Amino acid sequence: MVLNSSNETLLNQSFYCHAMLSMTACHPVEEKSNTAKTLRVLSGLRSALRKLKYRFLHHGEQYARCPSPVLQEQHNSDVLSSVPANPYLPTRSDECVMKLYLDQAQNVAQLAHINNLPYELLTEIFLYAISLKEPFTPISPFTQYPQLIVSHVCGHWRDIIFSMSSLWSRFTIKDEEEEEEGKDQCMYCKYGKHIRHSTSLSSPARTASLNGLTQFWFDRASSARPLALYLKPASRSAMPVLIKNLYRCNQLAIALTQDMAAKDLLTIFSGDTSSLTHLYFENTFNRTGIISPTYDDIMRTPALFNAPHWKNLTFLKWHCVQMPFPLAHIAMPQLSVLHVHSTITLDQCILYLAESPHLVKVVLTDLRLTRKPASSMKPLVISNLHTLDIECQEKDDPLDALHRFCLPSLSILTLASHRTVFSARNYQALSDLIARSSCPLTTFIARENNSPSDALNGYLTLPCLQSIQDLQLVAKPIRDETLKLLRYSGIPGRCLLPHLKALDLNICLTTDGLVSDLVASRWKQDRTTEGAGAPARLERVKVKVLFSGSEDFVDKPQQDLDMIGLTSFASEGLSVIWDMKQNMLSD
Amino acid sequence: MVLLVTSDNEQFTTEKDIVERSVLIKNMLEDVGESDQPIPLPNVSSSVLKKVLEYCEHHRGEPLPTADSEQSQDETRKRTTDISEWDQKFITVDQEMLFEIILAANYLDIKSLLDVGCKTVANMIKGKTPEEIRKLFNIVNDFTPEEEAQIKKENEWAEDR
Repeated sequence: MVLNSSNETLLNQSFYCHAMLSMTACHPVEEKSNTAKTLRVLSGLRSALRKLKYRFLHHGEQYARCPSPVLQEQHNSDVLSSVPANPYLPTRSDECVMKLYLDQAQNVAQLAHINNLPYELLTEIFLYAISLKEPFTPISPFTQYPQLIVSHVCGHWRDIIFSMSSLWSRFTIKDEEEEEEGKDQCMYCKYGKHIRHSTSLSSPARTASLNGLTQFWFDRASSARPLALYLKPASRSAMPVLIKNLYRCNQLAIALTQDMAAKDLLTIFSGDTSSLTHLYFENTFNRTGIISPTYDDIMRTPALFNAPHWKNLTFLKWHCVQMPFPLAHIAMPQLSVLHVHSTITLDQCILYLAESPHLVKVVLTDLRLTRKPASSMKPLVISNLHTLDIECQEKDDPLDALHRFCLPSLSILTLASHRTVFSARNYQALSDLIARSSCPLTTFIARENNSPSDALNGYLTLPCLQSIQDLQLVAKPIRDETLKLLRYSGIPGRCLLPHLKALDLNICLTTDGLVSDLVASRWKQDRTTEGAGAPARLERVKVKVLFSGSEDFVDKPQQDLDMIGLTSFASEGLSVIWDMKQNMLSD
Repeated sequence: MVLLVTSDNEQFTTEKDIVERSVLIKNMLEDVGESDQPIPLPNVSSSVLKKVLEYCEHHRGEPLPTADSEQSQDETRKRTTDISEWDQKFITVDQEMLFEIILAANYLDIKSLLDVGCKTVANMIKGKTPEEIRKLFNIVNDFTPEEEAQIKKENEWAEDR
């Protein structure tokens, strides 16, 4: 870089200012409320440095600040206009400049107490002020955003908000209809106006604004941090910008809709997908809708099926019940997480899983089982798989799927059933899986969506599950018998699931007092009996009771005894989440 | 009992379980052990410490936030700005005191008080225009002309038309 006299002067000023900044920061301030006074000066100096930086970058231009109601007078007679033309060392004029800046900085800082706060506290405040309820920030033209509001206050705030890359790194383009529907719920509604009905989706003004806004969001996100995009029909207008920036995204979610938007959205795959590690296809339309055109569009997107593109793909989620999993024929040996919610059969699924030896988590929802004798199938070994979640279609028993697996690393198992009547479950399949795999199963989750509680109780008495530490029971509802089974009677050596430390009961319809009685029996036990046949002490409890929303719960008792008991345990240190009417009373 | 000395040399005697809501003081007491030595707090004035102790006394006995709960708070999207009724009344002070309390809570490492302070300021910011925020906090508009031009453009995206 070539230094001329002008920018050398400014460098000197900058050095001078930095030196004073350091001195101020280190000087032992002896005034009352030392920190605040020091920070106040630092805050003012920050503003002075900001001016110097600007002056340095634009040394040939007349320095002019925007009108300010507080410092209009100082702006009008800006001291930088009197900087001498060619000094090599700090001059008297420089000192005057800095003195004026310092005076100004102190005046300004004394007025704005908020800017006494250090960076980390201001970011904390902004996170509270801008906290987003949705995983993806929904952006759209003609809507005010808290990020923008904060960035328009002053340069210091703008610098901070732009440095908070998490606020800009996950976004989606919101549909007009969604904005209108969600008007009362969206947090950012508080910040300003909403889109008018008269502004059409494809109006040139909207398209221009959308492209500008989308690029702005990409620009704000840190280049060092990968981005996440959620494509919805409204994203169509911004596809050129989205495609251009796809190389920066590691997560891409696409809404599968039944209108013509899917075809346009799928053009995203013409971009550079080399950074993509997470790919989600989400079903956002009515389950009964006509889906074949959308599916045809997917199948006619060659880039999607170009396997080399997916060399980095580690997370794949296909969430659409009616549509077959389209990528089922593409081997992805690098895949570590697979989540398929589709009408896939177990046989198809096993073929696919066999091509992905590095899987650590598999979630199969709406799985169809085939009626084949267990002995004819060799179990598939997936060495590193630690989480398996199987939810079968209505008639199938998820336990019947287990004979196809050998999972030496399995630690979390979820089995979900929709069977409406209880018939003998194939519990032996679970015992066989655990024996075959020699796996360290620690967490078991049973979801019985329609069955009576007998199905849950069958799991609890299985010898192969007695080593688990974390149990989650999801049923509609959980009844008294299940809680009685889990209760520790006080007789050492006679307790189901003796290693249990975390218990999640969702949803209870039980006699008042039974939940707290169960928890007390496993938590408030005499510590001296631990290790002598008494069960482990509970560490976390989560209980959910619904009072409304379903006819099944009309005659629900008030659960006063349970609530008092659990609240008391929480105050004594047990981690309790008691969820009633969707309210968390104790956490 | 614990003896605290503020930046303006005022002394406060308080009970251990109250003052131990401050992680800083709790750690100091653990390091020093049983001692009659006063604990100097050079970054906290007497007026601010009085308020801080009032807060700690009201919340004495409540469980301190665990590492797990702090970690879950880091998730930006799960934050709420709800403040309990007592805390709201407690934090209804002038701005200078509000920010001094926040700084003191940060210095003394009292997470719950820091949260109350930050949430209060966040609630003051919410729903306001940039100009209203500037006016509320006496902040100077110091944007460069380029930034002003960019902000104008950003406002155009948000303008109803």
